[in-house]
Amino acid sequence: MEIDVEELPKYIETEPKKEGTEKKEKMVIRVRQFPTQEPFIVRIEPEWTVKQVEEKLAEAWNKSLRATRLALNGDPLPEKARFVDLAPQIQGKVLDIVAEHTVGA
Amino acid sequence: LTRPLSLSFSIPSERYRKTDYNRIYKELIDLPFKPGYKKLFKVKVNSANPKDLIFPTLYINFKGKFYPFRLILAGYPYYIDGFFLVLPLINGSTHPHVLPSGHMCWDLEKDWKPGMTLYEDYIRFLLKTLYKRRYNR
Repeated sequence: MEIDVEELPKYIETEPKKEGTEKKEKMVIRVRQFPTQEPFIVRIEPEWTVKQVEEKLAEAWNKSLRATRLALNGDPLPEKARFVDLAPQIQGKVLDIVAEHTVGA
Repeated sequence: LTRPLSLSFSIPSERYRKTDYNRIYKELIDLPFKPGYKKLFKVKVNSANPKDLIFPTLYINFKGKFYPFRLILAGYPYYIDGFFLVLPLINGSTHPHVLPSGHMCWDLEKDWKPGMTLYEDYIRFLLKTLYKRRYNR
């Protein structure tokens, strides 16, 4: 029997869970590497900080952390801010990946 | 009008060691959110088991018919490979961009970089190439 990838999360979640390891509600952010690119949908834990997500994206894309800063309308998001706190500002918006400015930093 | 292929392939064990199963899972579950899912392409797996996630079947719509394309994600995102299980034909003859082995006549797999993604770089390019009429081999 083949499973459409659309149904895949359902199959993963129906696996027996160990006590105390239930999955928490994830938050969805939309990220793009270039302005013309179709945004990626990234599922994250709401309590993750901007820096934690940047580290994970940098690792997944095999990029340096300095080249993987999340920005909204050109302004980098504060590294220590948690996504749960940023949710009202970034809701429905696309985050851009920008390079960190080292000159004058 | 289609010719089923019986193919065997072997994958070096090094590729399995490099496989990022987490990223494969994440990219696969994002595919239904991409434009054209179910109309231009769809992806199915045999099970949610990681060993099956690395060999998904990509169904590509070519001229109204879905052709199965076996994706080989062992070693992904460092390597990617794939071939048609059933060759798409044009007016009963070989498709100009599909080799008799089922592979496309492109070099994308050779030039693949880990920063590239399954949908944005591989599937979109596959669709684009498949609909190109010009012979280039």
